[in-house]
Amino acid sequence: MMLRAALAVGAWLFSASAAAGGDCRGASSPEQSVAELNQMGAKLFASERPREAAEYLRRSLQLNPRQQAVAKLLGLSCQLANDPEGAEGAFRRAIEIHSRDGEPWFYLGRLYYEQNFFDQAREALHASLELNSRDHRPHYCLALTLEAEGQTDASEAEYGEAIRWNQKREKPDAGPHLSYGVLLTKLGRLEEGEKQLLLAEKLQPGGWQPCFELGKLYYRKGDLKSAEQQLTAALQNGAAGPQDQARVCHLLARVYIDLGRDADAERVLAEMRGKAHR
Amino acid sequence: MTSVSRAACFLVALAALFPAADRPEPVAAIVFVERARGAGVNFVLQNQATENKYQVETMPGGLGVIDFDNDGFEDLYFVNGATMPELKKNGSSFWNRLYRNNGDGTFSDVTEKAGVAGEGYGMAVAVGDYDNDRRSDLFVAGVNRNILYRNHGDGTFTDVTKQAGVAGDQPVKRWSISAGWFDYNRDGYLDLLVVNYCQWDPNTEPYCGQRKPGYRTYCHPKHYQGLANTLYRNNGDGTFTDVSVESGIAQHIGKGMGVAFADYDDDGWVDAFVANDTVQNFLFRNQGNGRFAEVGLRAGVGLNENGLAVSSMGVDFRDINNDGRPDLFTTALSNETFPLFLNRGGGVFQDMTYPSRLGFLSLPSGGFGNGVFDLNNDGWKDIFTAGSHVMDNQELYSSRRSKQPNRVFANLGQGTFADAAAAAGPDTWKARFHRGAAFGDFNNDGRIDVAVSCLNEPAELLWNISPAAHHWIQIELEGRRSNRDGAGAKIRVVGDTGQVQYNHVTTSVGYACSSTRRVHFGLGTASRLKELEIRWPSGQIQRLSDARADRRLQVLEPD
Repeated sequence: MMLRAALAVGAWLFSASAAAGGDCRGASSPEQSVAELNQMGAKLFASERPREAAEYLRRSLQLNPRQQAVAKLLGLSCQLANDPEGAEGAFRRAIEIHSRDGEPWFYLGRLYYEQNFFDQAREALHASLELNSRDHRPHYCLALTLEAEGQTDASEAEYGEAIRWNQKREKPDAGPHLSYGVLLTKLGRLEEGEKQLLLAEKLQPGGWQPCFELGKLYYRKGDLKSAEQQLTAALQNGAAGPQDQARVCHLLARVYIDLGRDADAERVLAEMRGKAHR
Repeated sequence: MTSVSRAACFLVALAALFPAADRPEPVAAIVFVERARGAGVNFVLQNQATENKYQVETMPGGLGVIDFDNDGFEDLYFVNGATMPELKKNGSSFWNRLYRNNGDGTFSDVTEKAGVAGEGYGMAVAVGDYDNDRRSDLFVAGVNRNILYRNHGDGTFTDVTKQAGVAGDQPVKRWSISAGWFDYNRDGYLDLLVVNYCQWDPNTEPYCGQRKPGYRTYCHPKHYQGLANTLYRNNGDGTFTDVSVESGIAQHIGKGMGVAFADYDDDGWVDAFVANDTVQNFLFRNQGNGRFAEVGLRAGVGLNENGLAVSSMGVDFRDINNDGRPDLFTTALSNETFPLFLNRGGGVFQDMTYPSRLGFLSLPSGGFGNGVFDLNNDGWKDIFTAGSHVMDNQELYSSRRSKQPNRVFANLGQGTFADAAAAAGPDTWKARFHRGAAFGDFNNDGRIDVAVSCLNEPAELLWNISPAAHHWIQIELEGRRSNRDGAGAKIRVVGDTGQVQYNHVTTSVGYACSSTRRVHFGLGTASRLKELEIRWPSGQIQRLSDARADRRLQVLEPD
C-alpha cells in the first residue's frame, strides 16, 4: 500500500519538477535551485533511495517552505527511510501549508497505523475523511486500523466505504478487496470472503497475495483441489520474495498432507526450507 | 466488597458477555480474587533492569507448584533474578523463595530452612521426583548455571547439581529459560529436557531502538544466535547423561521459551514441544528408540497458518476440545495473536486461532505464562494467560502496552472461546509485567487457582472463587513400574452425564513454570464417574468405575 502510492506521488512530483527545471530562468536563481533539488529528490525517491531523496527535498523546503507536494514527498521519503519522526514532521508541515487537503492527513494516519499508533491513526484518518470522504485510501486505512484494534464491525463498515469509492476509480485497487476478504475469512464468513478475494484476484492478475489468501480460504473450507490450484498459482506468480514463497510452500505442504500426497508435501517443505534460509 | 458479592457482580457481567444465541447454555462464571498479601506470599521478582537493556532482564519469572512436604497442600516456589551483569545474588532480595502452604489459606516463607535460595540469575523451575523417593525435587534453570535440588523430605533440600551432572555449563555455559521432566524412554525415571534460549554476553549486548534517552529497547531475538536444547537421560542412580546429540535433540538450533509434553500421536511415547521465539517451533516426536525426530513443520505447528513464526512464549499441550488428542496453545506478543493448534489426528494439527475466536480476542495482547485448565469446572478446559509485553517501553513505539492484564478465555465447548477476563474480577486484569503462571488447587476446594509472577512487583495469588455449582475430581497418581509422578500417564474419564474427557500427567506448563501434577477434571453436573481409565507409561491400563466426584483421588499403579 505504502510504496506504490508513494511512487505515484514521486512520479507526479518528478514530472512537475522536470517542467520547472525546464524553466528559462537563470541557473543560479533560487527558483531553479528549488526545481533542481525537487527533480533530484523525486528521481532518487523513484529509484528507491529515500534517505538521499529526503536530503534534497529537505533542502528544497528550506529554500521554499510553501511547497506542499514537496513536504508530502519528504514525508514519504522519511517513512520509507525508517525515519518516522521526520515523516510525521513533514506530513504535519504539508497539512499546515494546505489545511483543506485531506491527503497529508491520510499519509499521517497511514504512518501512525504502520507504527501501530492506532489512536492517532484513527484521529488523522477521520480528519482526512472530513476533508474528502470520497478518497478510498483513508477509508481503507481506517478499516485496517479498526481491524487491528479488534473492532471488526466498524472495520467492515469502513471496508464497505473503501470498496465503494475504490470502484468509482478508473483503475480500482485490489487492496481493499484483498484485506476485506482476509477479514471475512478470519471471521469464518468464507463465502463472502471468497467473493472479495476473487475480486482482488481479478483486479490484480498475476498477484501472489490474492492467490495465497484464496488458497488459505479453500484449505479451511476443505476444498483441497482449489487450494492447491491457488497456491500453485501463487508460487508461479512469483512476485513475492523467497520468504513469501516459503509461506506459500508451507500452506501447500499442508494441502498435500491432507490430500495424502506425502512425497509432494516433503518436496515443498524442502523447497520451503531452502527459501526460508536464503 | 466481599468476595461473594464481588462474585455476584461478575456473574451478571459475564452473562452480558456471552449472548445466549452463541451457546446452548450459559457458560459458568470464572472468578478470581487476589490474595497474595493476605496469604503471606510477598515475593517480588527482581529483574535488576538496567539502562543497558540486557536481554536477560526481561525474561525471568518461573515459578512452580510443589507439595514438598507431602502434606496434601500444594506449596509454591518462585525463581528470582540477580545483579546485572554480574549475575550474583548479592542479597536476600534476589533469593528464590519457597512458600509452605499452611493449609489455612496462608503460606510461610521457608526458603532458608529448605536451603533453596538459589544462585545466579534464575529463570525457570521444573518440579519432579527424579529419584522416585516420593518427594518432589526442584530443577532450577538459569543464565549460565542450572541447579538440581534434591528433596530430603524433612523440609530441606541439597544442591546435587554437580554429582547429577546437570549444571548445563559444559562444554559452554548456556542461558536456559525453561525445563521439564518427562520419562522419554519409559524406564521409570524422569528425564529432563532443558530449553535454551540464545547466546548472550553482556559485553556484546547490541543497542536497539532510537538513540535518545529512554528509547533504548530490548533487542529483537534476531540479534542473538540461537541454541540447541539439552536432553538429560536419568541413569536411575542420581546421575544423568547428556544425550542431546545421540537423541537428535541437539541438531536443532532454536530460541526456546516454553516446553510441554504429550503423546500427540498416541503411539505410547511421550513427545515434546518447544515454543521458539520468532523462529519455527519444534515438535520433537519420540521415536521410541531413544531418538527424536523434529516434525514441527510437517505436523503444522512450526509456524502459524500464514507460514510465519511468532514470538512463541509459554505453551500448554492438552486436549482442549475433548476429542482425546492433545492440542497446543501458545502465547505470543501483541499483534501476533495467541496460536491454537488443534490436533486432527494422524500426526497433523490445524491452526484454529481465528476459527476459535482466539485470534481477535488475543490480537492486542502479549502473554508469557499460560495454562489450559477447566477453571469453572464445566467440563471444558479454559485458558489463562499472564499478560505483558516483552518491552518495558512499548508505549514509545506503538499503541500497545508494556504492562498488560492477564487474560481468561472461557471455553464455550463448541470450538470457540469468549473473553472472560472482565468477569473474572479486577484482580485478574491489573496491568503489570506478568511473567510466569503456575496452576494448582491451593486450598483443595476443587477449583484451580493461579500464581503469577510480576517483574518488580508483588506476585499475584489468584484464588479461584468461581461459583461452586459444578462437580470436579482431581486425580493424583503414584507410579510403581512407571515413574513415581506418573508423568505421561493418560487419563480418560466418563461422567455419569456421559461426557468424556481426557488429560495426562505433566507439570510442564506455560512459560518457565511447573504446575500441579494432579490431573484436574471439571465435571459439570456429573456427580460420579462412570469410568476412569489410566494408561500408565509402563503400558498398564487401569480401570476404575463409579468413582464419586468432588474429591482428590489418589491412585497407585498396580504392581
